[in-house]
Amino acid sequence: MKWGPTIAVVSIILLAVGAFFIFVLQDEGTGASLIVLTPFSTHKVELEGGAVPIERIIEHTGATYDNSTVLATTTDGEVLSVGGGTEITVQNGRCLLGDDSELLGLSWGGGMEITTTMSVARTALYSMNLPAPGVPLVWAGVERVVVLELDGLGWNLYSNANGRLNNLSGMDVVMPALTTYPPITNVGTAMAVTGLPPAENGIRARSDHTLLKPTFLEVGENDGRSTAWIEGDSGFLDADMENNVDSDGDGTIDGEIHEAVMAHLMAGTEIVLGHYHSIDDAGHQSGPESEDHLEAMSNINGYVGEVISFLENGTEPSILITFSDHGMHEGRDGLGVHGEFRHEDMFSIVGYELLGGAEPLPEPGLTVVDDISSTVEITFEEFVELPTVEAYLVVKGSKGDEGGNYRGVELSTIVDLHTSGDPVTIRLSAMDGYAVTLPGHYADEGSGVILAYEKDGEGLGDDGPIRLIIPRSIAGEYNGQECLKGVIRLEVNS
Amino acid sequence: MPAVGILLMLMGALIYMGSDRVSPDEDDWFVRVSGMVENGTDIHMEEFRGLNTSVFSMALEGTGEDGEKHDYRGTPLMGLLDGLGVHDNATRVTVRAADGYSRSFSISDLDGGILLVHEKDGKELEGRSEGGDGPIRLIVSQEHAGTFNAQFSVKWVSEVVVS
Repeated sequence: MKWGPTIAVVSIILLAVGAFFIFVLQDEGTGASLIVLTPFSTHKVELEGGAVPIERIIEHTGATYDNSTVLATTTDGEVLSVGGGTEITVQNGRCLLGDDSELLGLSWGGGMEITTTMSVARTALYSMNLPAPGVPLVWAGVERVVVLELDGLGWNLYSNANGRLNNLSGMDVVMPALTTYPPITNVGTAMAVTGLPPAENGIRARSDHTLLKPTFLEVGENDGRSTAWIEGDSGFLDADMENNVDSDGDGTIDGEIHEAVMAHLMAGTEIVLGHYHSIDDAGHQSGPESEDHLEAMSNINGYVGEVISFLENGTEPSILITFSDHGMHEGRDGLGVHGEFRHEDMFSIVGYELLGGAEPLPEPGLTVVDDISSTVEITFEEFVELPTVEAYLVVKGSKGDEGGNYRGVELSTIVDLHTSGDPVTIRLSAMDGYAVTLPGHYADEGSGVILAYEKDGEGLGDDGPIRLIIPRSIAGEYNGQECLKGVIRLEVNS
Repeated sequence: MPAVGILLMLMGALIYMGSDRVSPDEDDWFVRVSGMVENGTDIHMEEFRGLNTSVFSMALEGTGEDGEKHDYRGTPLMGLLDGLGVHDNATRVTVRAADGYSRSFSISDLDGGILLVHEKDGKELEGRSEGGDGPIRLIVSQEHAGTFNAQFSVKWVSEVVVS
């Protein structure tokens, strides 16, 4: 008997069955586990295959999702804010956001308001009226920015400090801030000083030292401001730093760093970053919440108090921003370690205080410029009182589809109310300096182009306060690049 | 055409001269010593190998290191600087890598445990493009830096600045 044809038929059948299992059944394949963090807890959630909304993922931790900010940390170095209704695709051991971003985990406040450490640079820049890559913690106008980095002071360590950090806790605002993965000094610091995640700023791992984006000090220096980044003995990023060593041999460099910070304040330097290391050093060497660790916190508290006192008594409107690059947990030998996706390491602190007569400003609205007649300043409060529309729109960008119910003001409404003449072009500018120019017919009544201020009932966060939304029916499928975030100015050319 | 070429060369030269970071060609590596020294210089590999070097048995503990003792051939940093005439009022030495990383040390702390090395276990250190830590690397002993001394031991050393 010839076996050849039989073998061939059996082989083909086996191949077909195998292909069926691989390509047809894979979408319903094995589930995955996902880490979910709050500032005080770490949860490992087991998910089955398919699409799972984030509300359901939060419920798996035993909590009820309260519509607050959820932050997604991805393996490709992004830290993204995701809203209710966002679905995570669980497939073959991976959790995916959008088209292909694999999740490391989700983080949310669990009832507390949280931010990310990107808010450090964003707040520093916006306060000095410089282009910022996102929304700040507070809208303010100051003449001086002082940023103190308290290395290794995680949110849970801060919370358990029992009054040792009273100068810090007495600031206007102190809140939990998610850092990025891995939570180590060069990666965490880079995100804070650029206001951008590792995927954009180029610092993703311990071996990376070259920043691809400017720090807030460099932006200030390019604008003619005096700046200083005061560091310890390590130049861990390729940036202009003033390094210090332990000149007095007391076992810590923070005394020398603080002396340099105060010298710059007295000399009138406009943008100062001081990076204090002793809390992190003591945690590594003696263990979290050891005597040495607690003493280091007390010393740092003293330094923070001196800076506050100096700025408080000054006449220059100033903002003091404090943050940490990462937290810390107790390792197997009782000494402090960090670098893991767990709440102790990933939740840092961010705080700010306005001093020297500085006052918070109202949230920016929209400046409307008509080349024929006038310039009109519309406050954010006035903007949201204008006739609004609500529509389900999809913004498609590099991270996939972001659909939502957007509430906003039609572009035609703004143009009709505040300009005269028929627009030939409309230029919109954003707070980060980016701008788009649209053809005049985008302002036709019924075009569907809106200036949105809410999505799914909430403010736009980093995409706001006002965002341009152009429907895909006009802009094409990949409309994300035209949907300008942080719009602050509209100029009509007739 | 020739004018365009000359202009481009001039621009390239200006950009190179304006560049802050010392990043030598791996085929012609050198360490630039500058700052508060009498005789700042570029020490090329041939010259470095000709220095009075010794073999030191050291372990490196940290990310990417095996924690085992290896034989490093090199010279103490302080000895090298002494030969170049450090100013009496200098207080600090900064060792910089070609990728921008740096580490600073108090001059009073420089002892025999801080070395510039070019060989490990009898083999020349390979450059970064070959996955190595050389051609010149700083090794800071555990006696000096503590257990986790790898973070102080700057790879791809291209510059030493005395201030």
